[in-house]
Amino acid sequence: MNQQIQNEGFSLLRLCADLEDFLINGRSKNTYLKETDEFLNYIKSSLAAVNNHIRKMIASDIKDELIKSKLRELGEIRKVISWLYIFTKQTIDSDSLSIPFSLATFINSLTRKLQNSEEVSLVVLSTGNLNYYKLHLLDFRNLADSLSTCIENYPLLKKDLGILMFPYCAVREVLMNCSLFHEMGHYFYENSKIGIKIAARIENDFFNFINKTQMVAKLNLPLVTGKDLLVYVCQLLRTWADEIFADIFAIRILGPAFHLAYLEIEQLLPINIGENRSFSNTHPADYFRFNMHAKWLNEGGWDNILEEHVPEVYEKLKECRKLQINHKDFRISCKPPLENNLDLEKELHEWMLEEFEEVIIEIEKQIHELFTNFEKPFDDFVNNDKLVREYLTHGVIPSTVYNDNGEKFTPCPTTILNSGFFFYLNEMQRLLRMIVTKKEINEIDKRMHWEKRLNEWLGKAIEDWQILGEKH
Amino acid sequence: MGIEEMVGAMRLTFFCNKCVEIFYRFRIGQEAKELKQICEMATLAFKSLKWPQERDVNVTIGQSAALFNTNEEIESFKIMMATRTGTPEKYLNEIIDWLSIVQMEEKPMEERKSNAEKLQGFFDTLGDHSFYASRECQRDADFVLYRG
Repeated sequence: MNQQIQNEGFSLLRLCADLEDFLINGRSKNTYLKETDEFLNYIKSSLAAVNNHIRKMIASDIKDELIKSKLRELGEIRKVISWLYIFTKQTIDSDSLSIPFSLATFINSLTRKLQNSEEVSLVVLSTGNLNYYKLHLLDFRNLADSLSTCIENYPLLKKDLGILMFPYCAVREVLMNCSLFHEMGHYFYENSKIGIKIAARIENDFFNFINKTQMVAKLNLPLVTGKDLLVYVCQLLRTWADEIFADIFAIRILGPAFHLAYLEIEQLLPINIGENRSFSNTHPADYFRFNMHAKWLNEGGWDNILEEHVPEVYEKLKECRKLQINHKDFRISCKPPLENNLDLEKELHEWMLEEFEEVIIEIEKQIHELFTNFEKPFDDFVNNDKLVREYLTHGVIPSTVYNDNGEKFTPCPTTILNSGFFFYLNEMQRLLRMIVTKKEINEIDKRMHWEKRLNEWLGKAIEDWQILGEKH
Repeated sequence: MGIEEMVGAMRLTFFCNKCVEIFYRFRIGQEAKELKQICEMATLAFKSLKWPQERDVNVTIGQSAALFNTNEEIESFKIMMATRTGTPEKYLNEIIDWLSIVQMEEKPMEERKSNAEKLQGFFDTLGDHSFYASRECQRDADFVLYRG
């Protein structure tokens, strides 16, 4: 038996055992959403498979010629365990009381409805990062495929699984957590396989482009340069497509509350419109995103509402709507593998932005298809917005609202979020005037306290809507 | 560097490990039923490196069947290439030839085994490079799990 393999193997086994203990102890103390519980089972099965595999490896007689590759395998397994290590902690910490429960439940029910499947599992986990994101499970899925070929019984990731992350301090937040609808969009992008379709399209168009321009030949670089360039182009365009899809998705399913949550997090709205026009290696330019937000908010019927409630946001969106790729209003801040040839770089980047416009046509088509026959949030909003905001002004949770004729309505969670956001931005003073507090509480603390309460009321209203829905 | 790069390099390492084991088993006369499958996948992967010349390999970037999806994976191959004389095209064709000969039952077993040995050595070294690449990605892992 090889000593190095034994040392590395036992070290990994101890790590697996510690994680398994942590998992069992954590689960015994908390309760979890069904989706989170299923994910904990997945982690448990992964650890068990890795544990068995390493035990077998330690016990077997490995030939000298294979020792190096077995050590590499253990090294890569260590990286897998290091991820499981992070996931285990994040998942154990995300019990029902430590996540935005009502929003997580609502997001899951919406996804099930949109996908027309009960198998959907969107796991909402808290993260130590002050950001929202979705785990890119396509890579983990491919990795699990690779692992299952070398580790017996290594479980494949469930097809309809998505993992959405929110900053742990935002557990009582509702308005800022509207960003989760964008992360939900990433799940749909990944699950619809549109990414692969787009990659095939980009590859084809890029082939025609470099043939036309003779780009690889002009550089006179060795073979493999074409593939380098293809990877560069594909990775960027696919990443941007994923982001724009998620943005449009969030606007279509929720409405302006997503755009407002985005602004809240990014603290944008700079004075100079010349800024934020750069596409980076992770995201399209902010103003390009706002351009798409504006287009889809308009399509959703929100223009007049925005103009009335948040005129400065509306004006900024109108400005962004005027910006266009073919007017060269945007640029790419990344460096292609073109040996610093600035002319070719410019030519390539111009083509990439034009290609991205074509990709967006495909994305918009997919979104239209996905939302065929799916209600628009605007319809419920126009019926219930005023009543929701009136209830909030009086500190009443707007789960069930009555109009002047005594008619009863149960506003949709999307209305609760949109109206709640407008109330938060414009009408907090109305609420604060109604509340008499002890003199020693200063105005800042008072406002902060009632902003928190507002978020809690909105969360409760979303929960009530689901309970009322179950009752009927 | 993001998760895609890290996972890509890890998958390449696992693939190389698998190749090392299968070519070793073939050389010592053990049953290697996955030989054909692994040779075909490797051939496809190396042909894809010749893009756009060998554009007909029919595997799109991002598909689960594809190797060399990221610059980290391609870089691992380039590092190997740097230690060789001759053009990359010649080197790629040589590897593709080895993969083809190993599968030819009409060829003498000695010749097939000799090519399997070359391939075993090749994948062992490529596996080292992709392993180091994935380790580098992990070192930059602050934002590895992000997709905001």
